[in-house]
Amino acid sequence: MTTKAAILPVLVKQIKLLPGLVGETQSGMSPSKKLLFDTQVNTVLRRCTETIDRNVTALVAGKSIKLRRKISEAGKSNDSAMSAALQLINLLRLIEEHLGPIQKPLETKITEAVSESISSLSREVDKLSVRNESEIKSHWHSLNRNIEGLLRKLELLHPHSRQAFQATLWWFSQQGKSMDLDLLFGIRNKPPLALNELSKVIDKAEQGIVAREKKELLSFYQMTPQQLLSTIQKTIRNCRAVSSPYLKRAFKAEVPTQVIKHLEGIRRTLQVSLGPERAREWLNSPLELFDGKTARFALLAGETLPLLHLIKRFDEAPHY
Amino acid sequence: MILFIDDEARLMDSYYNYLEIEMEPYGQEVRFISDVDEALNYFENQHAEIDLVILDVMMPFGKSFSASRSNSGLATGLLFYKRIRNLTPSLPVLIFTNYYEDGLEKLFANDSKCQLLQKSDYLLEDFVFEVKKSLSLC
Repeated sequence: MTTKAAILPVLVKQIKLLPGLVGETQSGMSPSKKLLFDTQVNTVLRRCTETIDRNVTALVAGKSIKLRRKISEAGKSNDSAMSAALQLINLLRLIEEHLGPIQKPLETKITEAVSESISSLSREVDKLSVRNESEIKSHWHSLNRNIEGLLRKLELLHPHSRQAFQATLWWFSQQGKSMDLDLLFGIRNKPPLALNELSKVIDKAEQGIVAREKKELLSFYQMTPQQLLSTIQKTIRNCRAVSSPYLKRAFKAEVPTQVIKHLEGIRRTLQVSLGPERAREWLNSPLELFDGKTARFALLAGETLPLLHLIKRFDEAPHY
Repeated sequence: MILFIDDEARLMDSYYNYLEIEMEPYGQEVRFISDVDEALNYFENQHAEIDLVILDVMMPFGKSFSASRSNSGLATGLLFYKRIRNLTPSLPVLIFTNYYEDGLEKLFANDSKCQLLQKSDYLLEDFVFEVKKSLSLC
């Protein structure tokens, strides 16, 4: 048995002990509430176990000690169910920390984002002296959302099956955030399975996110979600061809969120400098820099960076 | 009997297991089916035995529905709902989904026996409460 294979069952066994330890602390709960709590704990734990399973390499690298200590502390904690929930949140945070060293930039980025959201939840919970069920429920609610987000992201990176991958893309189309566009972009460029017809489902996922999260941007540039996504993709492609090290450093456009940030910057500058109406007119006026084509046309062709450069000079120029 | 249809069995098992425990005292069996074709077949043959259908929306369209009408699977459950209503106009239905589009509620506005629940808003106990309400158990 390899070291990796040997350590996993030990960790999983220890994690599985946690519901029992947590259960002993719930003397004040009714049997049905206890059952509910245990079921929810088990759901979270199962998800933790899956996370560990996927990232056992990092755990093998001698980083499991902290996790084990935390698990044993769970048994000695005080007698409120909230503290059990807190322990679980901490446990998740530790798991997230273990994910960090993995040498896959995309995975690490996701991990950092989820870790931050779990940490902020944990900080919020730390401030409370919670003893009533409704508050516990609200924190379970946040925790569940966070864990589901993490699980969905991992599912895209390491799909259980083609069907699960597709279902996860549907989920992103309805629940994904704009930062998830980077993940979808990465998945499209380096798919974990043969995409074929699934590339259309990735399109739908991206369009769903943009339509929901970027309404102001779509309205300002008068673009459909498909046009905005095409602008983003073309900008990234054009940016790869830029040879100037200065431009590459100053205007990064390697992933969708960076392009979106530039587009939002252009919008803000134009709206502040010209006002909303004139900004819109300017977007649709021919520009010498683009051989008489409009700024909006240039954007649709993926010329975001030259436009940004122009706007930056425009913004720095004295206003009369 | 409660028929619970959702393609993501792995993610829904805690809901299913908890519902099964909570429904046992009421003599309600819970039948979970993740395959759309199997679920439709089961519903069409057994609808007289079913007291409530819990239905996801975003599911593979299978052989029973078309790719275009189901929007490549995004809206399969809505087509399934229409089949339910063709056979059983007053059977309680809970649409339990992550799917959302503007005007979705309007689809069910005239159907007092159908309720739309967003998955992300419902923890286990809230979900079970809604099931009990639909079956007039609370």
